[in-house]
Amino acid sequence: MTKRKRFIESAVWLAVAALVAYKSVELKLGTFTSPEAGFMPFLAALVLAFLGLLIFFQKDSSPREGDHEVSLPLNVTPTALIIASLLVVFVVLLKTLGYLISSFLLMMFLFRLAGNRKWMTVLLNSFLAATLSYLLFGVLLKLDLPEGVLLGLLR
Amino acid sequence: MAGLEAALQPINFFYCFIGTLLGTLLGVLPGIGPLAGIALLLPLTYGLTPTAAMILLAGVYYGCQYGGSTTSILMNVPGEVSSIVTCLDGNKMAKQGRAGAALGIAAFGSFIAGTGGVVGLMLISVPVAKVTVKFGPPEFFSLMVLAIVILTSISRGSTAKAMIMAVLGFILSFIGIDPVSGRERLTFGSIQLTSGIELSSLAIGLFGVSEMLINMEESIETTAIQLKQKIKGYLPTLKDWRMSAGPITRGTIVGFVTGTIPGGGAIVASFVSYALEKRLSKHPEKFGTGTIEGVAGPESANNSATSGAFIPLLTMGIPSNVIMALLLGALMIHGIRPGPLFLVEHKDIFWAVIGSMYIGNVMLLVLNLPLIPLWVQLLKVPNRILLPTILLICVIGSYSVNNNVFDILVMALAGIAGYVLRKSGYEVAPLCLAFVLGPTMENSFRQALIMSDGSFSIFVTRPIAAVTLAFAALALGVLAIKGRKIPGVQLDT
Repeated sequence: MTKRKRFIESAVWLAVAALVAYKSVELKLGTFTSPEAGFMPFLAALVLAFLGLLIFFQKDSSPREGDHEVSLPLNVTPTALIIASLLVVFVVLLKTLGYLISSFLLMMFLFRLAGNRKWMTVLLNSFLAATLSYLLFGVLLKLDLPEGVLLGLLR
Repeated sequence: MAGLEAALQPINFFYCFIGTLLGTLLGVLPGIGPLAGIALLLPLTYGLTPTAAMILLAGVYYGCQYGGSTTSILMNVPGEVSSIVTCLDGNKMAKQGRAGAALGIAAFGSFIAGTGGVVGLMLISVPVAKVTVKFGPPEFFSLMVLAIVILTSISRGSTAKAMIMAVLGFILSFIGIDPVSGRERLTFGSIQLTSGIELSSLAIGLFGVSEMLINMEESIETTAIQLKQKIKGYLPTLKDWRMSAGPITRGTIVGFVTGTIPGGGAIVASFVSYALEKRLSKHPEKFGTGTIEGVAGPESANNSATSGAFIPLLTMGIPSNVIMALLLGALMIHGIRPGPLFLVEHKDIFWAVIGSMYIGNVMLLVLNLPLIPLWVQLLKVPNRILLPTILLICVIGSYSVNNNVFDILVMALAGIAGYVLRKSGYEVAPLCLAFVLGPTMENSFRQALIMSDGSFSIFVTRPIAAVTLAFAALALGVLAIKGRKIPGVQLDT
């Protein structure tokens, strides 16, 4: 791991530790005899800060087999970023559009990203995935999936 | 007998069957292991009785060990991590036209070891529970610290990184309402976070979604597999049995013991068994060329380990690995706290699970071999269809817990975080274990301090706590001096 990568990782963990420590102090720490709500989170933040510093001062080592030498949060491939974004958009649209339309759109993009080249195949597979999953989970297992626009109109 | 009767009730029998079938399927499919599978199924168990939930999830866990050997032997692709070593000799046997014998001995060895493990679980649990009932908060806190230290010590990546994951898991477990004061902690003003982070959404994201993200970027191309040879001769010959008897017996014992140790489990058991058989063999140079001992031992060990892993969980409430942590989470969601009193207060659940494990092992033996052609067909489903479908199931699984879209968001964020962390050399297994143990550890720690009027000496003056913490400190010290731990044990699948 290069010095720059170690610095970034260390900085991230120190920032998290600082935030948790700040929030813990707001809650009051109490005493050892009578620990308050912030006691344990504050301890955890101290340990995290220590470990974060340890990361920075670790010796540089050559990459071992199976180690992915990537620094946070860069070097994430486009596929993973796109899928992550799709999931967030799905969450935003789910209640409004409902499960059927949202899942159809989600699957359409996922199948395309996964390497399905023909649009007809993508559309058909997406339709099947959305409807079959709705029938299995929404109808058979009676899961309360959001109706949204489509099912609301049908009803 | 009461346990067997409970397990034979139609509804419990049904869930045992579903669990073992799903477990085998998860074990067969590369790319989704027992961790992600159990995380996905966790929400589905919330509507079940605690007994049915445990039977289902336990069935998935030991079912995975059966299924994992199929792809290892036939395609040299481990269905799940504990079947990696089976690839070494199992696939070589398949190439020599002995796929049937390899599959057969893997199934029979798994059955014998699985049954042996259940017997061990049955015999040892009660005496262990009688000892642990005397434990107090300092002892439980120390044991949980030891469990986390050992798990972090055997995970890949640096010790510091693994410890960071554990601490992060603790911090995440603090989010919500403080159980003592009732005040909101680390919620940042979010109403959704006042009830804390949902375990199943976190687990599905960390293990399921992150795995899918990694798989989708690494293997977008179709991985349709053509099986060229027809498999025959599942029943091992007398010679096969003669050669396998020792490895199966040793694998049963090694696996069971390894399963009880924090940080142990099926993965470590299979590696230890393979190494042991190679050491004891008169022809160690033949290992890796298609020896049946190289299949019989590890496959027995990984099944026996699943039974052993239940001992610390049910008798002490301490999960020895991440999968047990998820089962602990499932029990706690049903309002049941495993520990020394579990065998007294919930002996019906305990014995029903034991009974179902006997039945489950028989089911797996009967199902596994005839269903191999079906599993082979499933393996031909290309990843470009399978992976998006599994992602959709992850989404539904997260939503189904509370019918709350916020849980899907948690899953998505956990998935992204898990993906980034794993790509950066962090293992997320310690995070999940610490997340599950966090509330109990905090409670034990605070109670211990109250008992001792704020003095940390209670952890030194109580012998069991002192010895346990000393072991934990020793483990950390050895790692710090040697600078690197055992390489290559990946816990996140």
